[in-house]
Amino acid sequence: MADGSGDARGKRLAAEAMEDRLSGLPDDLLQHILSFLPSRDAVRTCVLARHYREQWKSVRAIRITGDNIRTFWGPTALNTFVTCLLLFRNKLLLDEAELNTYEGDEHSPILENLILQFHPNHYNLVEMGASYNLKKHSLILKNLTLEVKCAQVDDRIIRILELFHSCGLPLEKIKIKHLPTLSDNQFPETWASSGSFSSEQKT
Amino acid sequence: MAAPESGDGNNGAARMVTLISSDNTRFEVEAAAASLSQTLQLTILDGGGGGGDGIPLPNVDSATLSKVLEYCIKHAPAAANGGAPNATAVDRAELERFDNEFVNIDQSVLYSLIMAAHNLEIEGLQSLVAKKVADMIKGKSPMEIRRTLGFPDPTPEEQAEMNAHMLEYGWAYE
Repeated sequence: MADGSGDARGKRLAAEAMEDRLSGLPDDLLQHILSFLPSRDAVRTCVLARHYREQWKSVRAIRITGDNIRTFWGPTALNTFVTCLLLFRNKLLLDEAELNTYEGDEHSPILENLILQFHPNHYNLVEMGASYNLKKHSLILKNLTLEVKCAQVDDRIIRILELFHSCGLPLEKIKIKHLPTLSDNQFPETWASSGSFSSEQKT
Repeated sequence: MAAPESGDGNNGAARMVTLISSDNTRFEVEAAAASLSQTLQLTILDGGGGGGDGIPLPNVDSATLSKVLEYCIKHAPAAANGGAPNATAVDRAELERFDNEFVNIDQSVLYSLIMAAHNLEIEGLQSLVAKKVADMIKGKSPMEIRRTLGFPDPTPEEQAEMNAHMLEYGWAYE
């Protein structure tokens, strides 16, 4: 940007005023704006300015959609992203979750196998699942197998399973694995390496 | 906005209310349209805003308020139908066309609008503007977003801080 001229200074002042105003939006309004972005774009706004650092964590929507998915390097990058997104976001209910196909191909849902691992000290995933707006996006359930890993089946798990079932997931597609000795640090790794998102295996 | 009715809303004619902007301009509008605002709806249900009284809106200037009311008047019939069971596809398409046009405006106006929608609790309007702002920054790099939103270019220190953050958030950049 050219400096020195009155015009440039004026522009900079105007720009600063705009920055102030956008930073001055109440948090819930900023989060509302971010909720319309693909999740990765929402996360990336954290570098914009101090005020934006933590905003993405409280966004009440997850959007991982066809167009956006094609910009990931591949299924592994996508999986890592979803994993980190779920782990690092604040434990807030979601108003909306949009999960589309990997290649924009209606026949390859990304959620072929969803693994929900429950841990007594991590309530994130439960709240996330319990508020999925699955009715709106029944597509992802067509080929979905649901694996639940937990120390014991408690209320939270029943709640989430009922929700998935009420949205059309057949019971025989739900697998429950008991992991009695689940430790804190085991949790993120297992989830991260579970490879739960499909790749472009279609021919 | 212009209507002769100023009375106490009998069943026949649509009940009108008066809203007063921060710069003291009076707007007369059907109660049904004003009631798209949750905040105003409460006041109106309490019988406020009729006659010569008017409801003061100290946080909304007249330019913004007239824009807000344009939205409310357009959306009031659909809202009265409880979201639209009897709305035809044509009606809906028309509303959509209106909405797209409506937010095709200067950024500073968008800002005033979203603040007004937030203060007055007009959910549809707030979502409409929020979505528009999101569309403006979708798919852009941080620098592009900063420029789009009119942030000044970062100072070297700010740039260093941004870079450090991008490293920390490597998982969002693969």
